[in-house]
Amino acid sequence: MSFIEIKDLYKRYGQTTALNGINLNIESGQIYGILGPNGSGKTTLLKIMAAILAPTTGSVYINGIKTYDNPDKIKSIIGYIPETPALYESLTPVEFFNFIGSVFHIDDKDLKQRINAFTSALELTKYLNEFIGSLSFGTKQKVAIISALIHDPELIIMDEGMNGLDPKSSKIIKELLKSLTEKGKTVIFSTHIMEIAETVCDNISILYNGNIAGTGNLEALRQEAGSSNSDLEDVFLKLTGDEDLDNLLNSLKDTIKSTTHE
Amino acid sequence: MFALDKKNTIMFLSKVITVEQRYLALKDSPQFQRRMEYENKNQYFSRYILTSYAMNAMTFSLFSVLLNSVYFGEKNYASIASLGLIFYIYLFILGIYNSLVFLNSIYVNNIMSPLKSVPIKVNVNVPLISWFIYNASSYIFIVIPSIIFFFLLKFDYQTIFLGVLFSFAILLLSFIISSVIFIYGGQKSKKHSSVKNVIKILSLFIFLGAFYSILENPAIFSHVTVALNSLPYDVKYLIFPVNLEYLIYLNYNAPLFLRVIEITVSIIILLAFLFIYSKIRYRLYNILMTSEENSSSEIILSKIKSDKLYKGFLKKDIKSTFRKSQNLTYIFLPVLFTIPLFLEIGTGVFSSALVLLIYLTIFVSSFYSLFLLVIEGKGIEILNSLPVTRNQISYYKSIFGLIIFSVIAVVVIIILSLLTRNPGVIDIIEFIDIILLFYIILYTNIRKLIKKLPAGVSNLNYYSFGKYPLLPIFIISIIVLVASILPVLGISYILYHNVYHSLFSFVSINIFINIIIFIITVLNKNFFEIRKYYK
Repeated sequence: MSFIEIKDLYKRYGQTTALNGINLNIESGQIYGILGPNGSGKTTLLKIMAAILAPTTGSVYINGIKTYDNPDKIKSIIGYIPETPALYESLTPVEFFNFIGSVFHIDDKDLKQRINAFTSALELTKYLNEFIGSLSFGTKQKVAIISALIHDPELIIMDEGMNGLDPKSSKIIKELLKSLTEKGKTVIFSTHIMEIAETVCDNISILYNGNIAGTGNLEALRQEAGSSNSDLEDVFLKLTGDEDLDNLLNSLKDTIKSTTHE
Repeated sequence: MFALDKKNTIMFLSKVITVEQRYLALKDSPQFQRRMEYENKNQYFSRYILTSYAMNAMTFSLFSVLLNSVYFGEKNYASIASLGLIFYIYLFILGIYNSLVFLNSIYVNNIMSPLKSVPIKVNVNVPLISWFIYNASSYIFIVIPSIIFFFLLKFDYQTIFLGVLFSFAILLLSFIISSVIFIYGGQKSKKHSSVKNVIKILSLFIFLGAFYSILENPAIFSHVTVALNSLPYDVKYLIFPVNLEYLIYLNYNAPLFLRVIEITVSIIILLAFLFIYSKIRYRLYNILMTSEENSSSEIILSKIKSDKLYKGFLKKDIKSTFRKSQNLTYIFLPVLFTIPLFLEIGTGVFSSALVLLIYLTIFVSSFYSLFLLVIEGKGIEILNSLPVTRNQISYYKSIFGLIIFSVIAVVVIIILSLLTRNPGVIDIIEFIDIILLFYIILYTNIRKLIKKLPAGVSNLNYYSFGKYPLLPIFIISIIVLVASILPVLGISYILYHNVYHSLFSFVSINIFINIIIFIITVLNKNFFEIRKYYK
């Protein structure tokens, strides 16, 4: 039995189908990438996995627990980092971490140790006493990442979690995620930036229009796309049916040329 | 500059502090930068400080003259005295708020610490003098008109003497209070703080409340006078700030020996304030001269503490409410709406203080059920991702609302008892009764509202709960009220052949009914489920 099992998952918002029958098995101890263009259903899929959204039909099991039927159990083993850091702007990072510590019943000693370690690594210590509202986007993202990690979750779900991070912090987070998977933790990571996915993820699923267009490691995806030496970007474009990008670009160039007056 | 004598050095540094503060506030504005291209900086700031001082003084004077002139025209000296008291209290609150902002601004922006390296002796009183000359003294213009109008009616020189003396004394006291908050409350490099926000909002509401009250019922201040008159002699003359109305205004008929005592006591009060100030001024000075950019990481990390869940929620809600003026307004706004009804006490439908209390409870609980959720804002996305159920959120929000309402209820009950009758045991019973009613309505409404939210909601505002969110809330509140009151009327009729026998019997029976409703609606299965998470 896989750590995460997604069975015939559908999600509809009115007439719009966000997820169109997803089936996926994810083993523990790896960084798993969910790739897809904007509007492909990545955030919806991650929110259902995190028991924040209910599926229309189908189910998600994490460690054998059906997510939306047991939201509290699921949320207590998950660290969720949303696309944009949603934080209490009138609190300081320390106060916010204290609140998270209360929710997960972390004892003072562990909380102190973890916050100290994370904030030092991400160079956040000097901002700990500032109001979150006054911090930059990247610093807020660091606060969101730390808050999702301080309770030592089994599963970390990052929705575009590297957004706004400086290169050094981004590198530290990547290394941190790798070391967590070595300890048996699982990381689900959504992005539309191919370079990050290529360097970080052990396995990848490509989501397109609510369907899985391809799944596996980079080699398997290359084979699926039928292009053995391509990089992930080309594989992605082939699997999502956008390989005629050249035609599209040429047509765009022609239009610009014909409508531009010299 | 270094040839300045001691007095001039103090004045020079006092101005430097103010100029530096104004500069930091203005420096980034394009308008200021354009002006600096062709204007002399010193002249610009001298003019700027003078203009803003004059504007403050004029606004306060105008406002005060407008309100006082109505009573002056009627030769209603009692109301001028009561209005004067309100203005003194306003001066006090404004003084605390402004001095706190002033001290924090010096500290956060390191305005005084560079003076350490300059070969000049910085007088320990410079912060107080700077604040008083360039800020606080302009606020005195709010009380001056009432002193002058009263003098013109009674020609009592004691009014002018004590009026001016207490203006200084009150500003000094407000500076002392702010200094104590600043010294012992922790000086943080924060842009805003709970204390400052509470004071700001309260000042605004007192101002609005006074203005509102005068428009609604110009005779209100005679009520205040009557209520204060009924206080014991010692309280009237000794308890600050109630005693100001007597010491400054209403003692024109007092015998000479009593006047001598009053003036002596007033001077002793001012000296006492000066003495207290002299004890804290070095501490304050040292902190301001050694402002630090940031607290050390050890100090910050020592603040890390994992509370029990209910405490964690309460702390979060208290901080995010009291640090944001907008959220604080939500909390105090329902109370402001009920102010006009206080003026109607004793007349028409509000002949009974109990009716007014019930009205306040319904009104505040209905609004709070919505506001307590709205203040969560984008934070709802965090809560959605945490192992916290919606029932738990309802429960913790309602506890926070209950705490705030309890404070408001205590104040209101004290005011109502003073206005209508002597305080007694009935007030405690009344308090328990309305607290129960409040909690039932609040908890029921919060639960109804939170159920309306779609899963995965990422932001909460007024319209997140539908087009007219207050309508269903008020309907539920009225249903709960009817369920609470109707049985009381029935039982009262059976027992006394009268639907309303006495306040005591009404409230006593109502408590039992409210306890039953509380058990049915609140202490149900969900409530006990929530308590499991108490840990």
